[in-house]
Amino acid sequence: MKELLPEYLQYWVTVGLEKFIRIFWYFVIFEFTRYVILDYIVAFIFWLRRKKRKENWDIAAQKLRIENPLISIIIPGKNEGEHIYKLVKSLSEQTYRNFELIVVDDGSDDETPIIGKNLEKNGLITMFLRNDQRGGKASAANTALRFCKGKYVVHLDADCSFDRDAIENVLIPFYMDEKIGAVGGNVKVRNYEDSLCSRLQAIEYLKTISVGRIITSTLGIYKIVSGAFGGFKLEILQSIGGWDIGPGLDGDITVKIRKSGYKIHFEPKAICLTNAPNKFKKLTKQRLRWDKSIIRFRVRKHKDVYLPNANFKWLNFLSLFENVFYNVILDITWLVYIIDVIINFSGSLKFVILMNITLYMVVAYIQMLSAYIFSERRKEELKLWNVLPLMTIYSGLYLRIVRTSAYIKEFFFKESYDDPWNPEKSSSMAKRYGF
Amino acid sequence: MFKLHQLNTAKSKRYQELQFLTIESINEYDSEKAHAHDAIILNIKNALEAEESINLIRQQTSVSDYLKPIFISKESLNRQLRTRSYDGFTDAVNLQAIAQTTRKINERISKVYRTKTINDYKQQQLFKVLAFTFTRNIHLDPYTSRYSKLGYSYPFLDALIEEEHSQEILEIVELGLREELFSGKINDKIHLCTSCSSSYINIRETCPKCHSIDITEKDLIHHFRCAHIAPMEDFQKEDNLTCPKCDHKLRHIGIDYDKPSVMYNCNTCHHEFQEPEMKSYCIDCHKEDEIHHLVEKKIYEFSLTPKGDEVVKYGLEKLINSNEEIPKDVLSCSFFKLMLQQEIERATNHDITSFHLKMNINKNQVPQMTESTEVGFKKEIISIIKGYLLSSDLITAVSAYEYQILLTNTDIHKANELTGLITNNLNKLITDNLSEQNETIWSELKPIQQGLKMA
Repeated sequence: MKELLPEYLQYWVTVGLEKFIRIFWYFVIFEFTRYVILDYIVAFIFWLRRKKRKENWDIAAQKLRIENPLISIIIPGKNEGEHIYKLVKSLSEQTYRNFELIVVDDGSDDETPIIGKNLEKNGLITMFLRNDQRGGKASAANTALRFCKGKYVVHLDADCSFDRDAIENVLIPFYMDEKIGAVGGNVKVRNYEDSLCSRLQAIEYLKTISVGRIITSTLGIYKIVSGAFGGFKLEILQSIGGWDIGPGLDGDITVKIRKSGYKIHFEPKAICLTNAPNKFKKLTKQRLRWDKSIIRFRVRKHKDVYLPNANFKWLNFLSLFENVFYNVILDITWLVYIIDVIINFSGSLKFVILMNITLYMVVAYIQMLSAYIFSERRKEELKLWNVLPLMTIYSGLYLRIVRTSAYIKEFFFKESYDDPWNPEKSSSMAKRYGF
Repeated sequence: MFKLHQLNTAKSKRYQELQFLTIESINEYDSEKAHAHDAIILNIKNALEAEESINLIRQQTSVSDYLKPIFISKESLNRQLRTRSYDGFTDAVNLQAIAQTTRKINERISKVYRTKTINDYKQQQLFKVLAFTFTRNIHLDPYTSRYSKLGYSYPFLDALIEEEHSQEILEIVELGLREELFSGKINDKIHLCTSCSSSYINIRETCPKCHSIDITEKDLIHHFRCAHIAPMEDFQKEDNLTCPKCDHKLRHIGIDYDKPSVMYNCNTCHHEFQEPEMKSYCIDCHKEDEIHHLVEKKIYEFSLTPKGDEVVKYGLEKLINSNEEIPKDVLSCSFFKLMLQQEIERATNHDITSFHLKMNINKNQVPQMTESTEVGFKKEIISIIKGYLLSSDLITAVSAYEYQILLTNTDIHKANELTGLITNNLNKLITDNLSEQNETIWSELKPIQQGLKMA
């Protein structure tokens, strides 16, 4: 290694910029431009607008406080009984108090019904609804939606907890722009200290959610209101018929709202903590499910967004295109790049691989720096910095392989319809009608 | 053959050695007259009056009165009787059968302990039930009765306890069960109103918010195709079911849709809910209550235990309370009597010297006591006396003021010494607390020999 270093440096000094770009075209064109240059430009604009944003925020907050509308917090799920009490307690700490709490039990086979009924009886839950026959997450959310009385609906996952002002902060953006139809909360990893797996996800969440969504939201192409924490206008949800069959229903509903002509906003101050899978096996299963939904919804179901029809909107197009391009197309392009490097630079392959690792590592630190700048939990998140070098393998290799596998499975075999996450009765119908 | 209808005209009729008293009106009942007869035949047309007559007889205080065999002339009744506290009908069998029943009952009545008046009302009633069960040689089986507030009643108790106090029926039989005078086999469970102990309870589904009973149940429909869920009414379009979200026609349950649950809608406050609150409504007193507040009671079929049998023969007296309060090695009076008899036999046949010591406390010298303080007083006196006795000596408490002791295998000297010792100490204990120092204890020591009787 020591002998290799001078040779490695000598190679890069003599290679020149032109050849550098030729060898690392994939990194320079796609990764560096999108995740460093664009991010920092937008972050800079975001920073420049901070004063104006603060003014708008304060006015909107004032409006919210004056109107103080009833909101409906809905929590659909199966076998979530153990989390419900903690969640209810966490919600009772919220600064925003005027809410009704609707918990939907989607055919749980554990003690959830007993827990839920007791909480309802004791007034800790406004409404506990149980569907004896499991219908899937979408039907559970739609059950709650049917009985919501609030002006806004906040959709939560039962295993999440929230900053004291999270609900208030997810509502305020609705008063900043009346065209905002949905607001996504900032989901962070609570159990980042559990394992390497959860630590790497914590970094990934910071990059893709906390920072990534600020960027896409600022650009107007924000595409997914996380199911773990998101706010919606009730009338919009009702007009689009609520959620469709998943998996990936949170991304799907966001697109549906966009297509209805509303803006989607990401609110970094509305913070929610969730437990990420702490084993790679579990994580792989989760990501396969998530990644399949890109093909199912963004490529297949909502393909009309790409077509020049009467409803065509550039932002909707870009929103989905950016997502599909940077995930699906670049996965294929990455394979082309690997083949290109192997064929054309086989003599200096060792230097190319090393340089690639170096570049991605540097980018990981640059991105982490932006997450650090935006974060409100800087001190805690400092613990994550020591595993940053591993992010090259995690997102550059592991996630890419999982993603590619999911795309192939979904594109050629429509495997998402066989996912036990949904009951067969719903999946078979969704498959038949191409949802 | 002497036929039953022949009795109708006679007030009193003799059959073989038995005297039957025929009553045609409740006013004709006279306990003294009844006392002189072996059985009563009620020849009353009005069922209500017949029931009142039975109640009147069963509510008498004298053993031979309330246990008197009663037969009903069924032909004359204008309706079925509510009570079952009689011993048969005169039209169904000939007099021979009635006579046989009368003899059997009366033979068993003769074995019943002629108890002094029992002060405790429940114990008194319990003794009467025990005696009835014993003399009729029956199990006390509950029967359903719409006239009892409990929905159930028991023979004899239905005449003893007024309908409006039917809760007492349970209290009495439960006391018998607790004291092991009855053994019970569970027959049913009933739920009683917390206010009036009636079992005529209407269970109703109500709105958990405003408690209105005006609620409507509706099925929720889940359309598989688009995951839409809503009450059935949202899907109803003329005679068809059409999804309001995707406008698709729902044709087949299980394939297109299912009904995962139901919702209730309150027509008073418009609250929507899945779990209606179950409330009870008492038909008798109109009290509305939570279901879980209702008093659950078990209905048993009872039969007399050997202990119950003994109580009927030898008396209840203070058995129940005293068993709870007084140490187990203090004998009941009846048992002490038996042991005394045995000791007399033993002393006579085996040349043994034993003594019977009777101790009385002058009731006028001690402050007036309530029933419960009497029990405590008795316990204290017994524990003092027992301190001087050998384990072979026997003691009984006739009352709080009278104690009898059997000093076995002892000589006159020791017996006298013991008597003096106990008397002095008891005297000292009692008079210490009194202002006047009069003699309070009186004792009588007698050798055990033939002719000695327990006073």
